[in-house]
Amino acid sequence: MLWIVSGTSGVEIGAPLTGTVIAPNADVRLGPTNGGPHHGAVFAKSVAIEAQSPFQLVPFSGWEQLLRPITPPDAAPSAAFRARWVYPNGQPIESFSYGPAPSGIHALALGQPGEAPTTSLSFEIQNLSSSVGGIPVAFSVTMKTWGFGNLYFDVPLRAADANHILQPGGIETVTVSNLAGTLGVKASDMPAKGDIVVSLFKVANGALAPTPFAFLCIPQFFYHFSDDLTQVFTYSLERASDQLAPSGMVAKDGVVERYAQGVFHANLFAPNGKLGDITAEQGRQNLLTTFADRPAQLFGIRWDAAAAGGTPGAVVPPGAAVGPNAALFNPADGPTGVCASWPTIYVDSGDEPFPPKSENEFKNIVDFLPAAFNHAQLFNADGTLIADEHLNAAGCFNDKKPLGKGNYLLRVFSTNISNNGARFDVTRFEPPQVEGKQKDVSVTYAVFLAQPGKTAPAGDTFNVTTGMWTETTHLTAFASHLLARDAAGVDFGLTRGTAATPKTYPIRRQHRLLEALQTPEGSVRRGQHHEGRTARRSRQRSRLAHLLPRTHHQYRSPCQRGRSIELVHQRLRRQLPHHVRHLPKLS
Amino acid sequence: MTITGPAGLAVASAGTTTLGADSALFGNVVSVGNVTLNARANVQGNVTTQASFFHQTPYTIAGTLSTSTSVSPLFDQVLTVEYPASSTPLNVEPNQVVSASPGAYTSLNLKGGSKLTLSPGDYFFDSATLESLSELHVSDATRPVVLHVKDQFTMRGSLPDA
Repeated sequence: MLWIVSGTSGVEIGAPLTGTVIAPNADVRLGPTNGGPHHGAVFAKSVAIEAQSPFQLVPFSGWEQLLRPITPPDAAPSAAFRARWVYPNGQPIESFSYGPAPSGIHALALGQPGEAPTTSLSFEIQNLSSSVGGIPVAFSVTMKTWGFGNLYFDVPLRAADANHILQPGGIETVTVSNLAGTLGVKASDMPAKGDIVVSLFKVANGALAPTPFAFLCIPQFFYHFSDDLTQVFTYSLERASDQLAPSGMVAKDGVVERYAQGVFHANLFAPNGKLGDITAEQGRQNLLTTFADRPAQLFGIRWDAAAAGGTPGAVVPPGAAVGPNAALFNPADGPTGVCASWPTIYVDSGDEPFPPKSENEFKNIVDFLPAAFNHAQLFNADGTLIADEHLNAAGCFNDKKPLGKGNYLLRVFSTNISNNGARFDVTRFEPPQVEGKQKDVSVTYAVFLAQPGKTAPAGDTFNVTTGMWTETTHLTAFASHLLARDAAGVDFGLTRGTAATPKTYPIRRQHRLLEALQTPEGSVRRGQHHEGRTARRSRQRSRLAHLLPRTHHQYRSPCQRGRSIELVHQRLRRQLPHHVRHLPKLS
Repeated sequence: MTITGPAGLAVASAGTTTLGADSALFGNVVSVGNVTLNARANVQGNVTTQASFFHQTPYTIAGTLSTSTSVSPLFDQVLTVEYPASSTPLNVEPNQVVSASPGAYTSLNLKGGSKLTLSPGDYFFDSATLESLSELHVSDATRPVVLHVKDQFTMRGSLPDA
């Protein structure tokens, strides 16, 4: 039994106490019992145990049931957690464009010739101290891998455990010891990419909450990155600014420069490109053999840029040799649908004229948006035009195409959108320049259609998104890389429609922390006193300084708590950057 | 009298703490203000005070005595109680036996010889008085009963199974 006395009048215990008394504003006097001892505990403004008064501690057993852990919004609406990358040697990874001074031997991708490849990766999760909002949490770690030639898959690195709590102020290191294996790299020198998401769970009464209350989206990294990015216009590919380098770090050359130097290990499209000890063509054939079950595969992308408002030029096959033309269409197979998607992060899923199909993927952190109404072209491998049209609302060519097994080129433009649809803008904001749209882009995919029409077990349509293969993406990674590289440097924005003012979304501010608040607004319980007419009596506020055990976080009456949570959510809605919850509606 | 039990935080005071003559406490004492042990006071645990320690002799502290020691590592806890409106008292007359459910009441008065059994949950009172020979029971000892008392609280009755 727990007695909570709010007032200042003295508390008189004239008989053996059985229970716990909390009286932060009152003096408590325990009188002689003339019998058994007092059993319990007393937390009070002052305590006087009279003569002949034995007192036996009996802790109150109901703390955990009564004192609900405070939620992060209650505690720290701005930022309750943070996460950061560190190299195995403990050096923080602010951006992999920076390497520890002076040699840069810890670059994640293969670095300068002679550098050893990174075989393991560690990162820390740091919980803020309780004074700034940290609360005890359990956490799980998942790596979403995007190995070259593989569909993505999730690798659970650690399950949340109610008995393994990261306490406020605590730091825990998670190590991926077999990086290549975890990434699903199955062929020699396959490029890959990893996303790591840490899911945070509340723990109540020794049990995990069924769903996480927040996610930490840790900046992605590349492994053997080898996309053909020579024509990409993005400042993230430039050498990073020395002025922006974290303490103890030095800027390293960006991807373009390193690629040009041949240190990115491969050019899949160059006639004599190499993947380690094998040629790009051999690597391609190896992948076709290794992943023979794939209905289609991509063997490269190429980005082409034009000045803002301009038009990207003629299609440029990604590499000098994309392979032979496809075989003739076999009517027995039936036609094949071809669709394209833009991958992005933080996508609005509202009911506006955006394409209605915006499939949430991976806990809403990554979404794939159909390239609706985008201008697209389909070519034979030799550049012969097959189709030139605007995709429909689902991001597909309007009719299925008579395609045979073999090589094709698919090009999607970020401009010339016929209706409201998705497009990407590449902008720059790096002092002293001003923020603004810099380029229009197009992306060309080199597709190998292995199973045309109804020969494909999953259907007669395949979807190409920005990546090295079907049904998956690199652009998300690309954007993330771009954003993660230089927090002050670049915006990479998704926008829609030519009628709307192009907008970019400063995701850069989120690159280290993504809190996907899972509490739907409708689930917030309103306190009965918040509903209106129910009379509210005077509320007693008491401060129990330094008294309660650490594990007891905060007690509020149910109605007060409900109201508090709602107010916090109202405040959050005002304070959080709009893209955390959803992108703004565009008129 | 022999008292046994686990050591722990038995008494925590934001002000002063006084143990009377011949009192015995099995547990720890944490006090922001002074701690005073009168003659033959017996603490089978630690005594920690942010202020000073005074005593008569003899006295016993089985554990460690720490004075001028910050108690700030203990958690700073805000307790907020909002009292719902109510106009109904919970009065139990002498020798009456009743049960009650969680809720808000203007007062709790257990007269001598009365018995009241409470179901688990939160109870809100403006004041609470348990007279001698009254008994306050709980119907389920495995689940917490929390009694919020807004002001005056006097307990002379017994809590046999609380």
